[in-house]
Amino acid sequence: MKVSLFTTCLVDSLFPNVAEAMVKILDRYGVEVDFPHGQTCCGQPAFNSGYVDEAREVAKTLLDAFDQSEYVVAPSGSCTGMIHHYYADLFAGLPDWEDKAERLINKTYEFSQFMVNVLGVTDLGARFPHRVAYHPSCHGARLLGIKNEPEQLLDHIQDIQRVNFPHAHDCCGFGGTFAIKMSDISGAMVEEKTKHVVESEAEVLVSTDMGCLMNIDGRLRYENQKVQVKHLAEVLYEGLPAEKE
Amino acid sequence: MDEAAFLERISARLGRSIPEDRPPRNVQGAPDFWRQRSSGAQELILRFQAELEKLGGQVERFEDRSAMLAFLKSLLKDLDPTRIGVWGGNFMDEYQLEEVLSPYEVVTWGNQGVEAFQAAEVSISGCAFAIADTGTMVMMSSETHGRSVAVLPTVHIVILRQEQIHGTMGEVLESLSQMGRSLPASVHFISGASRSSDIENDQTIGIHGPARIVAFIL
Amino acid sequence: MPSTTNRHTPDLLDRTRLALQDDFLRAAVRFTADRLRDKKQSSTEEFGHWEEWRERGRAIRAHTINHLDYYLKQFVDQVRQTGGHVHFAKDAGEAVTSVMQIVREKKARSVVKSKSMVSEEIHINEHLIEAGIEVVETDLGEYIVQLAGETPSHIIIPAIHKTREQIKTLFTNAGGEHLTTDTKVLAGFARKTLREKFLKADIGITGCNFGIAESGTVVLYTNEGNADMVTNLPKTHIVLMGMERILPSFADLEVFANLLPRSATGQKLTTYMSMITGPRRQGDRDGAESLHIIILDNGRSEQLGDPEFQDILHCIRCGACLNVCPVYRQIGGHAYGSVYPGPIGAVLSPLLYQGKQYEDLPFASSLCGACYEACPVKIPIHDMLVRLRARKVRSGHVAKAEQLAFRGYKMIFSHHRRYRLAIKTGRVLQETMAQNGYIQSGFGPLAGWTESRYAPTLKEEPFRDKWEALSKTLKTKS
Repeated sequence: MKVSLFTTCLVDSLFPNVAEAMVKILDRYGVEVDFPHGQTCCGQPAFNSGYVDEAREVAKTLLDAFDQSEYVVAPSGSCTGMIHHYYADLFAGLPDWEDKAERLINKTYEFSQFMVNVLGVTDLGARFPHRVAYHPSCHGARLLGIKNEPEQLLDHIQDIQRVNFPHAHDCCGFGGTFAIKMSDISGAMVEEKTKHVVESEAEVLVSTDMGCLMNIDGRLRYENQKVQVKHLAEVLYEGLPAEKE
Repeated sequence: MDEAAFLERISARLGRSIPEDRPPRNVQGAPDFWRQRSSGAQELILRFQAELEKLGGQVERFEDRSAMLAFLKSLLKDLDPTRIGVWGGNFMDEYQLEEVLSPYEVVTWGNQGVEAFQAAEVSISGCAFAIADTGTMVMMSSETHGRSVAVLPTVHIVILRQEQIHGTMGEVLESLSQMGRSLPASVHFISGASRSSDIENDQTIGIHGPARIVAFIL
Repeated sequence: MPSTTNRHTPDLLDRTRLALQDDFLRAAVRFTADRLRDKKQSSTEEFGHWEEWRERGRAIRAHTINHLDYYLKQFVDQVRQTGGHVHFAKDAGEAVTSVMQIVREKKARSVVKSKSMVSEEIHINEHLIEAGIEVVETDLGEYIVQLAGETPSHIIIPAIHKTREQIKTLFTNAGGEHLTTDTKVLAGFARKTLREKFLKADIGITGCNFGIAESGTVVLYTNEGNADMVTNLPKTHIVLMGMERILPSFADLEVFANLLPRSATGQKLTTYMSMITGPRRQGDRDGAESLHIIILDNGRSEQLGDPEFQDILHCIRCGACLNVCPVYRQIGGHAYGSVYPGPIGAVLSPLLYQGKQYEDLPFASSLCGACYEACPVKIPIHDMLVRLRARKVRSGHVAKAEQLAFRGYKMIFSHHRRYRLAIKTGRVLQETMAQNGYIQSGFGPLAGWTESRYAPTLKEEPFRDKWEALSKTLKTKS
């Protein structure tokens, strides 16, 4: 099985460790991974701001980069959701691009969905003896339709202590350019989110999207809190026993 | 704007002229599983009682009329109203209320109207239907069954026969649909007492309509 | 400082800033929203098959709106057969004219109203008051808001932003004597005062939750019973209804009687569901003698036939999207600056009133999609918000700097070499700002972000530069 890595621009430039963890996990399961260099970004920052033409031009980098791929896997429910939910409309009526978009939609998966639904893996044999809270990303859950795949993966981790917090399903206030354009409201939203997270006494907050985690982490550091944030792939990878050989 | 122009504007936006025949439909009303539910009479009574009680309503069940009248007598004694408003027509006779009500000033709808009922503390009426799912009682207006009987007084007592209790609202709505032009001007579904949570989310009862609802099931 | 209405501050950002400083408002909004959505959650769980009901609701609304001309005509014909009058208003102005004409014909001096969003939409109160007519809102929340000279801040709970202290003061100024802040006392004052108003009013005005086409019936949902007073007691009843409020049949109403109260307040059914079919019949001693139904377009027909926005007409005004919205939760209703607040308002307002007035509202959303998830008729509100943003950008009503920024984004991100170079350059530029791996105080577009949180920094090597070395360590090779 061959997987092309769609790192997303956020992970590529700001959180390369997340992609690295993902690659190493996939490698353990005998998946052949490649990284098509032509990819940049799914176009969401422009699309969600109303700049549709600009978004389309950028999105084309993905259609080209992944056209020959068997599977495409991304460490993001939001960017995967962008492809699944909006690319059909974005490229409707454009010869060639329309077909390329459809092909991409049909083979693109968010990391946890790929692990659970394609590879059929829920127990990676990882151990992570910490109190962990899980933040479901809005786009992952509502745009893409991630159900409990991330939680299945978390629940099979040895010695993990799952903690809950109120309003876990509420948006953290990131929303891409929303956090810049409406920074006051966004700031109030992330303040409420971190309050709940801190009160849960979690040591680590896990999610499937670095957009949310970057936002929440930014607030946690601003408040000088101890809670760390980690992508699901990082937690799983860190918890894996060292490989023999 | 005149009607034709108003409707034509809609048709034009929808890209056609106004359909002459009823548009065909695949989906109408509640889902099948819902319509196929059925319950026995006893179950309906219990469900109606449970639902209305959840809404703060009081439900009393009686074997026969004399038991009902005895209870009514003591309830009225507790409430101690000056004036009681009741449905007109043969309602008083149907349930032989005259004797129990004789200590009070009684006004009957049809002979009297809003002004008389405005000063009644208690009203007594029947209902057209009851709905078990929601603890609802349905009033239909007529010359003798004024709408205000159910809303002006502070306490509203409803006498219903158990065969009036239906399972779902859908059954009642179907009856309304079949009435066609004989549908009364007001059909009023009542589920519990008048309530509001508009002051700091603090629920208060009896804001405009009755503060207490009592259902008598015969 | 308890809330002062900021609805008329022209700039959205200023309005949100004011709202965010209002601690009482925010606490009250959060409390109410939580309560309503918890109740909705438990009531829909108890009910079961919620997704099936939602799909049913969507399908019925879609069919109705696709054949709105047919069903509206059927409704109107039925109303006339029962002796009711129908007026058509293409905009707010025509609706106001119709109301004022009836008021003059009836030589009316006082009007009682039950809650109606359309009446807010056409600002009928202002016109009535200007003509010297007494207008009294009779929903308790609306009455409070009216005494305060404000507008509702929530579709379902209009006075969500008022404290009991403030209410006591308002009621005292309205003639209440020896009032306390006890809910019963305050409600008792309202009951007594409003009862007198009902009894002497010449005209009752209501909205219309649903109009049943097969019978010409107007359906109203309330918990207080005020709509019944308004429709039973005055001699004339005026119904203000949006033209899309139609349902084909009583059978369809069952679906919405299940969806609407649960979505709005988490109730199985509101205390009262009132159906008015025509004026009082011969021999009836209460109920309006004349019934006038004013059907309003006001921008609605513009949405028909538009594949991007027609579904907005499916809305049943339940307010569920407000109660789950993380933005509404922070800023409350007035900050939206429009009659319709929350996610639905952020879509409806710019659609009904095209032009610049509300075109910023679709940006007051993180696009989290909670509104869609909560909507009982599955309106894709989050998608519509994105489409409205695109509409604004197309219209050119955007800052030059923003246009340039996205042109720059396209230029850089449409080729991986330019993108890589930009990361490398950015990495150098951020040197001066970075501290312990974070930017704690940014400038330019980052300034707003860093006011309440740190920003991450670009890593020394992006993943794409690490790939070659990493790929050599992998076991699985082709």
